[in-house]
Amino acid sequence: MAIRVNLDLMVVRRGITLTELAERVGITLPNLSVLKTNKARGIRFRTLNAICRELDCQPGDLLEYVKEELTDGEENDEPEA
Amino acid sequence: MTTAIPGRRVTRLAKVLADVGWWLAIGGIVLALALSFLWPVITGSRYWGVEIHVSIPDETAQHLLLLTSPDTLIARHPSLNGVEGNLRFELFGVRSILLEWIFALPFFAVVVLGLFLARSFLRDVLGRQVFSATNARRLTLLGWLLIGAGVALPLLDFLHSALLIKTAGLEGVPLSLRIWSFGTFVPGILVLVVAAAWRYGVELQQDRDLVV
Repeated sequence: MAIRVNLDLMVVRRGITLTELAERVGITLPNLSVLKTNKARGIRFRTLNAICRELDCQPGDLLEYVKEELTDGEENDEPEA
Repeated sequence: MTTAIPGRRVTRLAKVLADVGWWLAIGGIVLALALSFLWPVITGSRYWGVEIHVSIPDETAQHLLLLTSPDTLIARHPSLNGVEGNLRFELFGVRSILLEWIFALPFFAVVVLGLFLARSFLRDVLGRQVFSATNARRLTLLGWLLIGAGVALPLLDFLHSALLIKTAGLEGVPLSLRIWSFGTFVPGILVLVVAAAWRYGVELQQDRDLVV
């Protein structure tokens, strides 16, 4: 996945714990952990909206596009031009 | 919040049937094993009843039932074809029991393994672990098992019958040879198709689980 989630960085900057953020956003801690460790395959606008609201940030502060080399057998998720 | 799984009653019924089948199969194997050893004691005879599938050649079968049509304008040339049946006879000694088990063991193995896979699959579905990789593997294995049984068991049955005929010295008995069993082969292919769809379902489930 070429989209990196910088949730841990934002959490440290705002000085709150993941447990506290999970409670405020209304999702479980394991789900937030999935997001933080870049294992998530997608994020709902509702979740993104709540995280941005609680961390007082923009989606661009949380999500970052990282260009990476594809390994053998890995699918290219990028749309063709 | 838990969502209701559609067709839960049917799944539960299938699980009950698989459970009953499982215990009947286990009971049947134990009973068959016990009878193998106790039969001479119970009956006082060392003869063992066996049964083989035979097919009567068409030219012979036509003499078994002589038919004439009263009105040849309506129907003519009636003939009896494709006559099949079971030839029963009693065979002496322990060797006959061993020959019976040559066919019984693979058959029981297929039944037990098939029912085990079906029970595990249905248990997981009832436990809401529906689209799991394990269930997809179980379905694939079940499909190949049914296809394998559809091809191997009729051939094994033929081999078993031929051995019995040879042991009994009943040369010239026309054995019935079925290349494959339609009853398990086609369901096996259908189960493999379902297994492929299930694997896609597993991917969708993982996608859904990893969307936060």
